[in-house]
Amino acid sequence: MTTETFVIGIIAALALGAVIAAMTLVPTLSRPTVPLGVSVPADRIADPVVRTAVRRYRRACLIAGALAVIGLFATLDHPATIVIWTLGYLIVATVAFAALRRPIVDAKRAGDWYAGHRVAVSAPITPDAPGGVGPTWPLHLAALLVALGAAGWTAASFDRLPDPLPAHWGAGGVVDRWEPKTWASVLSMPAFSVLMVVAVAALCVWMGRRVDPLLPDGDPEQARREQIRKQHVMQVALGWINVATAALFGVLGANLIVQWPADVFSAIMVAGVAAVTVPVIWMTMAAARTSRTDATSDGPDSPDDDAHWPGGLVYYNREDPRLNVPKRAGLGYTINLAHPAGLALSALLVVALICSAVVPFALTR
Amino acid sequence: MEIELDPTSSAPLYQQIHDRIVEGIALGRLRRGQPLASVRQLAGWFGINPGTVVKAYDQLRAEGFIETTPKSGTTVVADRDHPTATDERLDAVRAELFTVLATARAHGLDAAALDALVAAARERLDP
Repeated sequence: MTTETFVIGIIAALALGAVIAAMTLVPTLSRPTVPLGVSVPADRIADPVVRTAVRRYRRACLIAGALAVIGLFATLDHPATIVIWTLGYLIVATVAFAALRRPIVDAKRAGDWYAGHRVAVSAPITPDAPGGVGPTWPLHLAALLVALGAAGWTAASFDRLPDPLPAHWGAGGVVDRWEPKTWASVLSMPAFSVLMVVAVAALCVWMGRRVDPLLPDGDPEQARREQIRKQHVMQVALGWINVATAALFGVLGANLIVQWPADVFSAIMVAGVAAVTVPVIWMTMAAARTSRTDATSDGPDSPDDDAHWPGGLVYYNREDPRLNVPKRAGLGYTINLAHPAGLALSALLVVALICSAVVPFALTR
Repeated sequence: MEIELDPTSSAPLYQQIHDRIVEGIALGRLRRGQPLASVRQLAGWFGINPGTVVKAYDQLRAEGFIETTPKSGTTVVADRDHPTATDERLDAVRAELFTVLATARAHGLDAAALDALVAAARERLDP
């Protein structure tokens, strides 16, 4: 195995590991009253049927994950298969999710779990209502300073930069594509980095401003605390991701000026990718801590909205004017497929996913 | 101010929005001049059809509780400390109250029980 394939393997395993962790932790990251994407009243959170289904799902995720990692390293000589292992794993985990939630759906229907439960959703009616948790500005500012600093340093070092300019590196840190040195080619990457920083900060502003109905889950105060804490966790994590990504681009730019030896550069890149995954892992763990497992139900329950969640994963509600809604399984937001723009956006994402699987093969032909 | 809606209730959603806002005014939680969320905002915040909010606001407007102007949007114009009801509105309230009390009487509640019902409701409005 060459150094290059080994480095590719490490980076791919990191990415696959993050996917496996995210899928395995889906039940922990979701609201406690939607185990495997099935609405249940708060007094059924600890029902044996629910517990068994969630345990089976976690086990399926871990076994499939172990197989995917073994497969990834066994076929490392064909790096284009990496995406196949990752996508394949995602498909298997999704199928497991869809299949293993069935017993909960059946038990709920047979036992009429919602009978006699008061349900409600609440939201403000006055515009002065407080929104969500806002962006972590110091982190976004730091990211912007890093990105602008890198752009400034690159611009100031224009005369020292090699001509032609390295345009792409293999995973071993060896340049495999060159382009002529112009101001455009020199500044395109730093400019892209600055744009990325601004885009992530804008996403955080949008997240902080949006108001979504509070689903009381049997205990409105607790549900609100969890909602705020999850928003806080996402804001802090996105702030750190912004800093880490800007730093990664900064290192790429600095390498043009300093020109580290290939193995040093490659080590820095692996550390950089790891640094981007750290905030994601922190977010997952911090959000997982917020989930409760006890079955209290003094307040109203959240409505059974399974009808709007086919398979427990996708959202389809013609009545809902929102393009994005908080995800039911895991953290973040998902698209309302019944929204006119929602379908177009989803089609675009699917095409992008398929391209990411096909392009590596086309390139290695 | 926040309100709760029950999507499974037999009362339609627009009626629930209407009733919660009227109760907010009656309890003094909504005062004259207080701006309300726009139709688009409220529909988005609850994830419901904007038509539902339009229907609730139309009814509140017709009853003289809210007003919508292009400049300041939708605001509350009624206030529990300032009588604003027209004779026509009072007649409507009398008719609704009669139906509510008639429902209780039809369930077999006697005059004393009706008085207790009314007193309990008044106590909630002015504790």
